[in-house]
Order: sequence, then C-alpha cells, then structure tokens
Amino acid sequence: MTTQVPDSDQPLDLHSALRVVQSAEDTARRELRGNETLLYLMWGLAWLFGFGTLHGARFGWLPLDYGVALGIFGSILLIAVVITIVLTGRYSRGLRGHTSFIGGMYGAAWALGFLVMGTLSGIILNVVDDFWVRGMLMNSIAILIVGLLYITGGTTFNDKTQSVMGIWFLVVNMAALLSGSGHYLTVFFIFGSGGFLVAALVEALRRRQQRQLSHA
Amino acid sequence: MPDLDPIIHAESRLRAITTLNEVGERDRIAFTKLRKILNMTAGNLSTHLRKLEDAGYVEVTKTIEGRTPATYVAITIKGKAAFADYRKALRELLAGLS
Repeated sequence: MTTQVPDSDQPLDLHSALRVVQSAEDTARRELRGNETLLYLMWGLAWLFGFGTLHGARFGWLPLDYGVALGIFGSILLIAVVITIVLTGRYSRGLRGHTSFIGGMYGAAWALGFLVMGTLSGIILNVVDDFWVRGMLMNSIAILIVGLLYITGGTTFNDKTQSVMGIWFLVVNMAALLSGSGHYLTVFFIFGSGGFLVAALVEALRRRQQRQLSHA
Repeated sequence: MPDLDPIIHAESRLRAITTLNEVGERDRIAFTKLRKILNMTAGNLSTHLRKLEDAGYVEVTKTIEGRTPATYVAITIKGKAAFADYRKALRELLAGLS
C-alpha cells in the first residue's frame, strides 16, 4: 500500500523547497526515463550467458550439443527483448507529443531492422553451406543493426553513452568478422558482452555524479 | 534579495511543476500518470493544477481515448521560464544564508 503525500499549500522554508525540487526531479527521472544501468546490465548478462553457451558448446567446455546451445541462446535473447519492450513501454505510456513520436519511430526501426535481418538470414541459410560462416554472417547482420541503432538512439535521445556503445559494437563486429568464423564467437563473447557491462558501470557512475551535482 | 514566485512556492505545486519541467514543453503527460508519480489525490492535484493553469504555467487538455475521457497536462514556455527563475532565486537566497 502506498501512502499519499500530504497535500500542502503552505509556503516552504528555503531548504525544504530545495529538497522538494531535488526529490521531485529524482522521482520524475526514474519514472519517465527508466534505468539504463539495469537495461545495459541485463543485456550484458544476456550476451555473456548467451554467447558463453554457444562458445562453450563449440569449444567443448560445456557438455552441450550446439543445437541445444542455439536454443538456449535464442531463449535468453528473447527474454531480454521482452523485458526491454515491457520496461520501455511502461515508461513511455501516458506521454504524448514529440517524445512519443520519436520513441515510436525508433521502436519501429528496431522491429523493421530485425525483420529484414530475419529475411536475410533465411537467404543465407539456403546459399551458404558452411555452418559456422552462416552463423557468423547472421550474427554480424544483427550486430550491424544494433550498432547503427545505438548510435542514432544516442543522438536522438542525447545519450552519449549509447552512441559510444554503438560505435563499440560495430568495431567489435568488424574485429570479430576479420578474425574469421573460428574466432568470431570468442571475440564477441568477451568484447560484446564486455561492452554492455562497462556501459552499465559508466551509466551507474554518471547517474551518481549527476545526483551529487544536482544536490550540491 | 529576489522574491520567490508564490504560485510555485508551495510544496504540492512545486512538486507538480518540477515533474512537468522534467516532462518538457514538447510533451504532455496523462493526468493519471502525473498523479501516480506525485502520489497525490486526484482532487488535490486538480486544485493545484488549476492554480498553475490560471497563472499560465501549465496547459490542461481534455481528450477522448477510445471511449474514455483523458486529461493531459503540459508545462508552457511561460511555466518553464517561471520555474527557471524560481530555481535561480532559490539558489541566490540559499547562497545568501550561507
């Protein structure tokens, strides 16, 4: 049960007024923009366990058939996608205007991007014989979309961390592709998930610093 | 010494305009969502929004969503400027105390 804040029409003393502003700003930011730290941490762990399962199955440090590992990888990513949609939907609900327009278009860009990726993957399945090259190509298309949308997401929502993450994912993608299908998973497992985990840490520190500055 | 705007300088209205300032002047927030964030009763929030609206600091729009009436609230440019002035005056007054 939540307790309603007592209503007050009385003028405040100066220090109380400052505390009211700071507390209302913190609550509004939390309720309107969500928590990027948690999202990055969740995705970092999803990639770590997802790519880790694939890596373990391929290089034999997990007693798993690669098909089963692919199923686990897909399920982990699907759960992460659903949680992301639920969380971002929750924060944008009840808002109208410019933000809801750009949010809607940005969401559509993700959905359409992955629809195209799914179609391309179907073609790759039919024309590329090598199993590992197929996997590498499909994953690198997905990461190309992720990288580009993170860069544009950062510029759209004025979030430097997000744009830097997009650049990082594209650089890691290129490095992983150049390392060849034998090492693609290793590079991605370490530096892809690592990128999300470092971003979660950076975002947590940035938020703490922002709170300290606005309370100073 | 600067004066604090009496329309803003009351706890409930200060919390409301701070939240609306975070939403920004290009967006509108549903009354129900605003009420939930502020943890206020509908009656109290309406009363305080009316005072802010009378001062030209917020704009209240009524609309129909599906078959349900919905109310949206947005800070105006005048409201954003008044809130910025309020914060500046508050900072100066607090600096004068220390």
